[in-house]
Amino acid sequence: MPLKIEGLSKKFKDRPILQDINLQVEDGEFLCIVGPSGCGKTTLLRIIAGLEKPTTGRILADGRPIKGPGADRGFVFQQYTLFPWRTVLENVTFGLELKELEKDEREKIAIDYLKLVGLEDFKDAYPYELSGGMKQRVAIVRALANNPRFLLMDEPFAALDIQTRNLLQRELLYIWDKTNETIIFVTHNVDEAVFLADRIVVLSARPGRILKIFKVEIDRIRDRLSKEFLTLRGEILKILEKEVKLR
Amino acid sequence: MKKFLEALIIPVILLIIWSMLTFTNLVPSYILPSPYEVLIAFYNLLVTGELFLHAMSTLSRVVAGFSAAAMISIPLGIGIGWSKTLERLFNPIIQILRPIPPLAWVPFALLWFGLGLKAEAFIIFIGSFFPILLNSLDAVKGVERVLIEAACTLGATEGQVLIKVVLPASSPGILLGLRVGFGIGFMCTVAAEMIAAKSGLGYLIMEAMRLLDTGEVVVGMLTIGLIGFAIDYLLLKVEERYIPWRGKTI
Repeated sequence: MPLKIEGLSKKFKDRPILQDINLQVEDGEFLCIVGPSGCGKTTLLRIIAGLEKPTTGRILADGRPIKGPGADRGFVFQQYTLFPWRTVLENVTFGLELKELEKDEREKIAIDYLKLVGLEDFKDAYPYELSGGMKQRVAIVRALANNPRFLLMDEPFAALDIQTRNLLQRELLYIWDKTNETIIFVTHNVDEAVFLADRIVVLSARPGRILKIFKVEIDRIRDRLSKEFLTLRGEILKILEKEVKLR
Repeated sequence: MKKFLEALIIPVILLIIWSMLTFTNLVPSYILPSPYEVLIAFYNLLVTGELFLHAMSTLSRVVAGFSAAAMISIPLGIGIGWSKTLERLFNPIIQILRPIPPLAWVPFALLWFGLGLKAEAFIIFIGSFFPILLNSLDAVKGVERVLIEAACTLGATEGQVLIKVVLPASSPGILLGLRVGFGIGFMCTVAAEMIAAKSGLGYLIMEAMRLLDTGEVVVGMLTIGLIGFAIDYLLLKVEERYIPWRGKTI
């Protein structure tokens, strides 16, 4: 199993954030994690990335326990995190530069990825010259250029307007299809999760526990107004609503 | 062109008021020299080469003291901003030394270095050291956490984070520190020259004052102003050239 989370819990000081998380992620899977705000879903993703340490339990990536952040787990943040002093191309080559690839080679790889999101013409632009949607496209491509084993995404489209968000969801599915990445995608937006995921993990209010895992078996590209889509979305929303009331 | 003219409005108005006050003898010239007297004094100082010599003498002190301060305080500031241990080690001594006005160091500057370039350079060193140090330190501390995390998830080691993220991210703050440090250092030199020197623009002003040559005093003051302005402008241009993303949101 490529990613295995075993008995994981997390406390900040004495406050429990996550409780007894057990989860397995399959190769090439698109997994979404949803939950009410403050439920620890971002923390869970950060622990997988190695940016935080679990209080108990462990995570195995291809059988090896995760000790810290690494290039094998690409991360796309909710905030804009492009390096403002680097052009689009230099941002995308950042990881390859760390691996000490030759300049020609890393630029070739970067351009190929930029083509994937239609931004090759913006390679010499600085991040401040890009729109929010473009910045997040570059951030995704920057993570992908490292050819990571897992792509971890923390509400990457939350700051975008609804049209851009829908467009980027489609683009992400296209990228996923082309690259066969394994994606773990955190969102509070149930609609987004149902549109994207193979499986949806629903977390409880804090401390986050896994309430239910849904398998989504609707053909892509999914119609947001189809009966199956709305039924599943309604079911998940009902669970979450109960959670929010409980607090 | 319009902007350029706008920038001239206030100086021209001041010049007119100044001329009216002095040419009418409303204010006697030993209180305030007329623009004409200043021009004469400027011409005399220029042809004798005195102005150039004093300006060069001040500038060489500034360059010496300022570069020495930058070479020590930038790496130190980055180190303290990055490492909690270094911060704990250095913070107390910095906090105690920082409030001491650079001019309070004049007695030791004279005792240690005697009259001359070294003593003055030492004063400017003290003057520009702390602004550069504190700005570098703050710049490093202010680097967005998420940029560092982004680099880590792209596979960066701590050293790579420091060189490829922290350094470029804090360069606008460091450059700001250089500008502030230069301004303060420059002021300190001139003030120090007034107390303890045999050359420099500060010395020129004090000598002119002793002879009640107020025109020359004004020439000295304006030269200081113009040099300070020119160097600050130069540093600003460096910033615009090398940090095009400065002040922009990420």
